[in-house]
Amino acid sequence: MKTFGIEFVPMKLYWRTTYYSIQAEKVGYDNIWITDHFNNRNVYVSLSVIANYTESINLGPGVTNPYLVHPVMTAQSVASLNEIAPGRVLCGIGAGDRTTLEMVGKEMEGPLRTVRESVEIIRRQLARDKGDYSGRKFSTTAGARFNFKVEDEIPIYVGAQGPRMLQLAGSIGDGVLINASHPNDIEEAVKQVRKGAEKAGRDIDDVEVAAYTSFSIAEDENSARKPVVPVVAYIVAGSPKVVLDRHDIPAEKAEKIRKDLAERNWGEAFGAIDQKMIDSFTVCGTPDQCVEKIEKLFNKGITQFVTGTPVGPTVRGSINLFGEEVLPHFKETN
Amino acid sequence: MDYREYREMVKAIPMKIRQPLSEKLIDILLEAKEGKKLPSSICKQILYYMNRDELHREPGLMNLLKACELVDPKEATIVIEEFNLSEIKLAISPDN
Repeated sequence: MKTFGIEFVPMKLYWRTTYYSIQAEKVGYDNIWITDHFNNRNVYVSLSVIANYTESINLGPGVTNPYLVHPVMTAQSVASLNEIAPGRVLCGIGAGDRTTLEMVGKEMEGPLRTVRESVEIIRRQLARDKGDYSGRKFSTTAGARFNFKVEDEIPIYVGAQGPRMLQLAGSIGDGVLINASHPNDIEEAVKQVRKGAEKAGRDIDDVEVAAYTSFSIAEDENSARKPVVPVVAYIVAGSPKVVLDRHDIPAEKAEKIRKDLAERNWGEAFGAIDQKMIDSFTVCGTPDQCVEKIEKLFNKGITQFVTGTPVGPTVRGSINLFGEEVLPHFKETN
Repeated sequence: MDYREYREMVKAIPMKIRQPLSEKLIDILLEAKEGKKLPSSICKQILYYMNRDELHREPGLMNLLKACELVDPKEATIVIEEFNLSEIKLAISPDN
């Protein structure tokens, strides 16, 4: 089954994010993912409002991280959200990004172990496990148990980009959110997820594989490209060498973009973004172009396609366009 | 203007233009620079009617017009002119 998610960054006024979420539900999206960064509005406040104004769409953090939020608090948050939206809650968790963590003096130590233990703790909390938990990064005692029962399953998705985190997602996640938009990157990522699943005695069919893309759609190609340029600049600036090499982007070029961004030379940074980079790190274009690109990603093994912010020149117009001209190619819609 | 005045204005809007009018008004609200001026009470009303697909019905339109008057009366006046709704235009024009 092919499913579709949409990601919102709660940078806008709460009611605008909620409006777009209602709209996404009405056009036929299956999932809403809200990002979790301390410089935007709180993820669970955003999700609670969305839960109150929607009926059936699934929703959750995409993704929270255990360096800033202890996993018992994440478990508490998603369990509480489940009371507002029973059976509709998802939980996306990942290691976060180093730059953001460094802003508040946090080091990304042992990301694999940290994410693994977090997932284990969240599951134990949701199940009201009675025993103690003794990990290398976290520990809990029986006293940490919830005072209330969680009536529904809450699938846990692991956010991943590098091979080892992808393998971890395959071995322990109900789903994986792959930070990539290009078929070659997705193909490589799915290989790693499969490897991790098989090592853990699972089948990749046990794992919901989501391509968490940077996405923009418009009636004409140029209008679709413009909104993604800033996002691509940050992606290029933050990509490891192995990813840059895969897309023939010279490391010096990426470093220059990184420097320009750090020094707020926006014109220089964004001016360095070319069509090839846009094609490497986004899914964008007219509806027909988007359908073709999304089909390629499903053929590489994903089961969920996530349209990540920007979405398009105007969010409302682009969500409608996606619902009217892309979704019907892949699923029955209202 | 109070809600009673809005209700009277909205009653006079022809049925066939209510849907496209509501879409233009919501676009104003979603893009307005002064969006913060919108009280949370009106935001919640708009979301309530959006959830029920009723922004184009009388209560939905009342809230949209009230909201536009608060955050961008100039742009709202332009839209209302496009729909030849002169009475509403006069009521919410920033020159009033």
